Amino acid sequence: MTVQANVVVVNLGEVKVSKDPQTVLTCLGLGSCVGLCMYDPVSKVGGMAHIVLPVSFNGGTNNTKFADVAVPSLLQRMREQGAVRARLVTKLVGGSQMLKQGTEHNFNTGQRNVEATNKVLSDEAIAIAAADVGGNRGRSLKLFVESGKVLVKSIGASDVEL
Amino acid sequence: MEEHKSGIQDVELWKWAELVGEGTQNAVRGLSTMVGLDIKVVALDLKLIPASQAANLLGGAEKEMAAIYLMMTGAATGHILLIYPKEVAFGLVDMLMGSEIGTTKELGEMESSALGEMGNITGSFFLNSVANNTGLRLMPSIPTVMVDMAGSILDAAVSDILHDRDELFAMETVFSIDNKEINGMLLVLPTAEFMDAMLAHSRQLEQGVN
Repeated sequence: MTVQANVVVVNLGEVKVSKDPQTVLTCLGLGSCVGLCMYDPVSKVGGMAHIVLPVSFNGGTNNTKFADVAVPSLLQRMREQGAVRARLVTKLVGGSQMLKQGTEHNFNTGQRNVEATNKVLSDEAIAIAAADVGGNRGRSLKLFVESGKVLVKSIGASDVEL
Repeated sequence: MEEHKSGIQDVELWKWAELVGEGTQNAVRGLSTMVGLDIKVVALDLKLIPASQAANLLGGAEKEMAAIYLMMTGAATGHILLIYPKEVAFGLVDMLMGSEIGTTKELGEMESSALGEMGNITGSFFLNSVANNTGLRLMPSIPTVMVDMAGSILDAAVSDILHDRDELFAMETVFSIDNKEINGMLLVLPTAEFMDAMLAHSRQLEQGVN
């Protein structure tokens, strides 16, 4: 018997955490945005952040669209659900360069998002287990809360486990 | 008078919609001349949406679309996207290159360049109209042609706008080609700065102050 999965979309700037084994957290169509997954394989708590921008300017915002706000927020919510920091398996997906290199409208947002997320994770002493970042294609990302399995998909390609 | 979270009042929103609407009509006229087909605006829709819902503008974040992206620069910044389902974009390439419909199966350099030119024409006609009505000098950037998931196509423009707010104003245009309605869309995404500049300049012109 197949149990129907409960697919929860993590939209732009959102952070979501679940310990329901039926739940699949997903970020759809990541371009320059970064999808950050965390999973505790013992308490089976999974979490995902959909990061849009690298750094909040005023420092006082609680808006999780920024990497420097999203990472601590995800960590805190994972902890509240029973996850233990030392056991976290952290994976990073996205940060593409969708626009032409060398044009004036190239903000390098993708690369800056990846760098900012890496820095905040490093400051929090969280190691990155795997990453699929950069390039110039869009990606979708799924985290299965039951197993911690992470799948990445691009247009014209099938799901690849990360 | 209703004031939106962004601080823009309804009356200003309508003025803005009028300016962008006129620009859009002009852009579609330019497009029509370029491809030699009768292209008409079927629907113009001004939307104010939460950032988290941006991908719904294109029917879902994972939907495969072809897009031509231009940034408006100069007196202010904003973003223009000309977006089609992939098959429609391929059909337009065939028309532009004088090939039989169905010839184009993917976008190589030549095909992307043809679509990029279409973006150039559309962007220039749009900005000419805005310049006529506001006196603002705006230039389109070099176009980027993308075939990918809708969400990833929108990311560059949306992330720029979301620096300082959490909602998007979008002018969505659906047009028809030779009386056949297609899901082609011209999306104009202004930064807050761009909307302010357009409104301020149009007020000055109306008051005869230059």
